[in-house]
Amino acid sequence: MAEAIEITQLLARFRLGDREAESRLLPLVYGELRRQARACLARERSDHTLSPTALVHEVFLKLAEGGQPAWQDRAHFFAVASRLMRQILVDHARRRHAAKRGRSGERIPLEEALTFSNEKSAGLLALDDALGRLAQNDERQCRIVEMKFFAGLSMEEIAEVLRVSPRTVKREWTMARAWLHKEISR
Amino acid sequence: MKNMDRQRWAQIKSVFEKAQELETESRASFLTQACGDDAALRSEVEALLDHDRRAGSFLDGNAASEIGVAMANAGHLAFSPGEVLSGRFRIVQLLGRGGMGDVYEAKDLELDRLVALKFLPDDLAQHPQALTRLKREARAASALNHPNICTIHDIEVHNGQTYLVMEYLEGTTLRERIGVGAVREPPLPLDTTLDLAIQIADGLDAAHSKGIIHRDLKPENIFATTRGHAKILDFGLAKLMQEEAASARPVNGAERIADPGDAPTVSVDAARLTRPGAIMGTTAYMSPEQIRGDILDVRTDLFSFGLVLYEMATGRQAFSGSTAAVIHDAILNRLPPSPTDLNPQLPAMLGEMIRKALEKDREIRYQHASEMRSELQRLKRGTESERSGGVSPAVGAGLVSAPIQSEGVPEVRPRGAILRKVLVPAALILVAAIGGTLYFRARQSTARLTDRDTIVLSDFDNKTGDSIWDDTLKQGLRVQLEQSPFLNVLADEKVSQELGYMGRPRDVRLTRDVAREICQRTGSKAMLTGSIASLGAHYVLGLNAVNCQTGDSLASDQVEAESREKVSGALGQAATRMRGKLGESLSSIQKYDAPMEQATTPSLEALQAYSLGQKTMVDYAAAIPFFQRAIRLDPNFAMAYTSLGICHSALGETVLGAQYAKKAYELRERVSEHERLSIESFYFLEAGDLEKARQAFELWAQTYPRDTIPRNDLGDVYRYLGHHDKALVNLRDSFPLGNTTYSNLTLTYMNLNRFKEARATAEGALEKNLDPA
Repeated sequence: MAEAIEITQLLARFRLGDREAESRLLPLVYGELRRQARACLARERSDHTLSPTALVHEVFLKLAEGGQPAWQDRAHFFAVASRLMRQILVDHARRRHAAKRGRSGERIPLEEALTFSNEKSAGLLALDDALGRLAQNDERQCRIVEMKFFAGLSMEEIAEVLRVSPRTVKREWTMARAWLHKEISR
Repeated sequence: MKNMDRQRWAQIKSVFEKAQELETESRASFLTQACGDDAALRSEVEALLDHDRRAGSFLDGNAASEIGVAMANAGHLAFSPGEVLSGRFRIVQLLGRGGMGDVYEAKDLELDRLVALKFLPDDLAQHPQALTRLKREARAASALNHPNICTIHDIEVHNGQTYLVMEYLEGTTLRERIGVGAVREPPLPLDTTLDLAIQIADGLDAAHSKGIIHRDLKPENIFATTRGHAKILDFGLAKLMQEEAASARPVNGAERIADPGDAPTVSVDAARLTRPGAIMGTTAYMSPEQIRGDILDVRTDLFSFGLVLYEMATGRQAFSGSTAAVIHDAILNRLPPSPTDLNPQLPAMLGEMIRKALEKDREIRYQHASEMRSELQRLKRGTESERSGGVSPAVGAGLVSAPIQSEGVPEVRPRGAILRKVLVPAALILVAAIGGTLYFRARQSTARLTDRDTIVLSDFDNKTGDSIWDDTLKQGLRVQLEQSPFLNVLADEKVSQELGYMGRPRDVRLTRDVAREICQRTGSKAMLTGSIASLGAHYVLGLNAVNCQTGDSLASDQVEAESREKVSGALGQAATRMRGKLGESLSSIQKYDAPMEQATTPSLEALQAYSLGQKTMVDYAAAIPFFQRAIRLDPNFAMAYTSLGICHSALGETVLGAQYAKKAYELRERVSEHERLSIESFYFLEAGDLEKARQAFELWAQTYPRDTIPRNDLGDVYRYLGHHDKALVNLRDSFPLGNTTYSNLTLTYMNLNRFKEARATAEGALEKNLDPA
């Protein structure tokens, strides 16, 4: 599969800081994510709950099939995937929310904003907004939240991606979470 | 605290992290020392510490609950304006997100022209052969270079996503023009329908003559440009998708995928996207041979075209249903309501054309698009000449009433819900697998009544254990159906008369069997049975119309109410849909459809009391307490006042009768048309204004020609006015409608000095055990 080799190369270049590689990587990962999600849904029709971690892993395996990805690639792949997951979820929530409310722009009730569930797409939108502001202050904290919340990565996996200690991730996470909670509650 | 500078953030972060690691009690002194005079810093850090404590389970877990559905529903990765694809097409803007993929407006930098880029399902990119064939097919259709076929310039791949480069069109799809399909919408103006249809037929003819079949013709695939041109989109795509689907693994599962969190829409999209096969012919627009999986020829497109025509002409889908299986069954075995019934202004010839296009047997359908085109052209000429004063013998009546469009440009309707979410469940694949046998049991049933038929209402089958529903629902249904000039519900008097003949007590429960017997004995066409069951706090209501001679079901409807309060409204909706299913025209339903809970009474208890009163009304004095109770429960219950007035008046208490009649008259604003006619008639009668009463009763009789009461009472009114001949005409007319009171007729004959007939009438009544005088 030509794509697998391509993705391995792209990941390697991405790891080295090649921004163009990232932009070429996104649609590939995205397409595969969707394919996998649909396949999962078709199999597990009674319950639409997918484990994002499982999903991302499956996508990675599929894309890397035949290639020889370095261990770091996996981590970087997760970083890319988690950003996509956020994008997809927020887009979905926005459409669903708009459909439900008839129009967007209404104020989201606090209680709804602090919870995340099928019925409460508003929470996700509030989180997305707050994350956008967090990224302006602290890019790394934003990435940590993305990886943990949207792609379900563990602290250890995140540490691997960011090449910092798990303890640092934990500390950053604590502050990011407090800050987001404050932002959303205000 | 947005966009603070990096230094400040670092400061806050550092203090927060240190404080956070300390025991709660030692934090204050640490902050005093760390922040010094910087009160802002301190309050910021304290706020963060506070929120850290309060965050609880905030952001624990992950977005798992959403991810599956969201992923499956996600569109293609959006491109931003300015981005250049395949080194040639610069994105101008996103035009829409369609069932298959996003559509962009883009500038072709090489040829310096606007194009539309339509993204295909990305599964396609995985099948190079399919892609090659798609290119060939698309080019073949485009090579026709026909003004009514959208040209596909090229097929490109960008980052693994396949897209079509198409002619750029300004306008809307026919779907947006018609509306959401499953819901009833006003039909398109006749001119527009004919103009577009002729062009569609022409485009189909051109393609068919080259052996190209569309296979997925539907309103979504037909574009109406702002200049009034029709363009058929996506020739050749359907076949490809179908072949791809055939190679895909079938999905097991139920008919319909339920998503606990949302309406079916989300999961449906998921199902639809999971199954590229669903695109091969969108369920509601498939031909019978397509459903059966037969080898297709051009005639499949003519059937689908017939369905599109039907929808343009009536504003409603010919075949709809909540599952693919239901729709398939309808396409294979059932006849849709006649288009001319739904839209009485439609030329009979167009109705006939649609019927012929929808022949289930393709041998007796239209054989060529050119035939349809020339008939449509003839029809158009007919409407034009009729409008200019000439009369076309080829065209039926009612043509001129369609609004005339200026310049032939179709009106633009507000965009409704554009994406009609059809349920295209996995059952579609299942059905294909189970194969034909299931559907070959052809059972044609003409599901409709005419305005000469009468129906009998049975009592509701109440499975809730709550007796409130026993009489209320039937009464509610009656109120709802009485509004319809089309449906004629057998009068209560006639029912109890028939029960008398059957030797049964007059208050016996009208079970299904009893109702069917009455239906047969009175020569009624159908009986309507209803049921209610509770499902937790929800209620499920079912209505079923059965041909009482054959036992065949003519139409049925089911509706769920979320709570007790919503039952009336739900019943009303179901009743309205039943009226349509039984053949009442759209215009009639629209005109006479006041929701019962608004028009009659919102109180179930009041309705129950009222219906008990109605049942008791053979004994006026006994009925009075029930109506009084109804009024106590709902002081604005207009019909209850009228009934109370009638009771008092019949008992000779005319002053009271007039008072209640007046009260009802004052409350007549919100009532239904049917109730208004009855309230006004009775009011004028009690007020002694015979001329106005006459007019009111005449209007009532005219609007509801099969109601017994206005005919009978007109007999009275004309008798009082001394017009005994007119009294006679009305009274005679009332008996076939179910009037059982012969005394008026006897009196009238006497007034006309026709004593022999008076005597015969009285004797006849005695023979039938009825009140003769």
